[in-house]
Amino acid sequence: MKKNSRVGYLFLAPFLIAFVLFLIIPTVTGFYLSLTDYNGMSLSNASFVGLDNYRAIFDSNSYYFKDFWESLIRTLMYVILITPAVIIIPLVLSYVLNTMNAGKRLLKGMFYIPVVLSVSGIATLAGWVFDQKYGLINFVLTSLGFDAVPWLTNPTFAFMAIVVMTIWWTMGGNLIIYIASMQGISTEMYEAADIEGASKVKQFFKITIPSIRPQLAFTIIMSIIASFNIYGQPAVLTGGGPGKSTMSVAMYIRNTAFGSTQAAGMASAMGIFFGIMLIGITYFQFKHVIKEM
Amino acid sequence: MKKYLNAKFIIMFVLALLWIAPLIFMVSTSFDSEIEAIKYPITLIPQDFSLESYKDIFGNSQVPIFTWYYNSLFVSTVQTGLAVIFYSMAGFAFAKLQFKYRDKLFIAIMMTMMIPAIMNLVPLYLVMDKLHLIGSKWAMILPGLSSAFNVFLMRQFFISVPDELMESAYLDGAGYWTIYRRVMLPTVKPALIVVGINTFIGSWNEFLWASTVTNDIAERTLPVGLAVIKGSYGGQFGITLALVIVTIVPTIILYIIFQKYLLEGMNLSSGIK
Repeated sequence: MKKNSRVGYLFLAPFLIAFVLFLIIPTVTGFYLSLTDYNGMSLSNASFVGLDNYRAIFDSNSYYFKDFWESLIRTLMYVILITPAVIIIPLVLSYVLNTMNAGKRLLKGMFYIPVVLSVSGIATLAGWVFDQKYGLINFVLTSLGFDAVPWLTNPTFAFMAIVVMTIWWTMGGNLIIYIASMQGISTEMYEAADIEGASKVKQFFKITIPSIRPQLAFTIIMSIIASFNIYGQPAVLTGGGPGKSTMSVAMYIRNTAFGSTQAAGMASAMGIFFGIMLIGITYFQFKHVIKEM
Repeated sequence: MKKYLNAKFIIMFVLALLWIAPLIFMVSTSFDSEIEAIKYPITLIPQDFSLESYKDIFGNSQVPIFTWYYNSLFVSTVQTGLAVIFYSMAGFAFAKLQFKYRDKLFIAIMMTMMIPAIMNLVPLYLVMDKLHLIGSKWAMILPGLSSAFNVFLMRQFFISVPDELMESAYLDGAGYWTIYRRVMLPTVKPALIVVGINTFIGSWNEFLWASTVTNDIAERTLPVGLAVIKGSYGGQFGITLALVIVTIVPTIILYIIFQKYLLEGMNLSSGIK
């Protein structure tokens, strides 16, 4: 078929208009806002402050310095604790599920179901599950003779509660991907390994893992991005508390813009700093880590 | 039954039951009386079965649950409808039409996939404010139509449709719109369902943006309404859990009906090498 630019762009138009209006314009505007002291109210009163907002991110005397970096490091902790779990747990589960003849679909469905719930639903449920006095987990613990744990009032436990809740909520997505990709591995490879006397554990590392590398790489990258963007879990379950012990960087940025400080220009700078950092990390993974796998 | 009676299945089944135990006990606790809901032991079958919690939610004028349902349904349905049209048209164009700067434009669009939502939160709010859409459902609907990822998915599907199908329709004198509408769309129906379901559930559960662009209690969607109202029921777990159940019923139903497509969609998204 011949080249026809008019037709091509006509088909593209609806998406392209939305794309420019709600993605390109905001991105460009964000860079501009990050150079102003915009307070979220009136743009005409905002004055140009150059790179002051970015300087404030790196200036240890600034009002934002401590909270921003602490929330960023905390977010990194979320990533470090959540990512391995949402990769390893579903890998092992799907390896076992794929060797089963019956009931696989049922079990898969059961493990997957938390994924379809909203973050506020999950976090509200977790508010009860982790409640110190009436919660499900402390009921089990006290029934077994342990002491009740102050899940949501102790900073470390509250952090762990959010980690556990996020693993529970999101693991199923990766599980589905692994099950499908493991189904594609030919059974002959396993049969040959069986004949040679290789253990199931060895087969897992020597056959299964190498065969699903692309899916593994994809899920690792996506899980890291998702954990960096963690927002709703602390926002709904703990409000970032107790103190600021569970506040993620996304939550801090949103509060900076829409909370009492109303520092929307500053929040834009933080958002761009965080965005560029995240894009850099993802790019690095694509470029180096994934190729090595 | 006999095929289920092996150690592996039983162990895995017990694990899966433990995995969804919070959901099972959530349902049973929502049918407890308000006193029983905050009492140990937590029982699987309510000792004192009661619809108190549900009556409280639906009877409380402070909890405009039907308005939230309407808002959520409106936002998710309209966004899904438009998403299927916009993304399929764009995917068709990028996969099957020849035009200037096509591949450069495609790469440029794909590069935006990595921009995190939080980065554009403030400027997108400003754009919506300029368009006088803050508080309107359109503020929640429109940004969901700019996802590079869905364009990518649709393009992948259209690429797999053989060119001959299109060529022969073209030689028969069909216009581009007819080819798209009558030849292409029916062939990529599974893709439309995948994008549609993903958009609907994503939109139904969306939290960060919806909580930012709505202020009035009557403007909220279900997830935002739930998060806002849960504080005023602090400690009344029968009611908060019943609220969670009321908000998640539609996604659970959709999940059961479209399970096949949903799971397939997850795999398609990961099949990118």
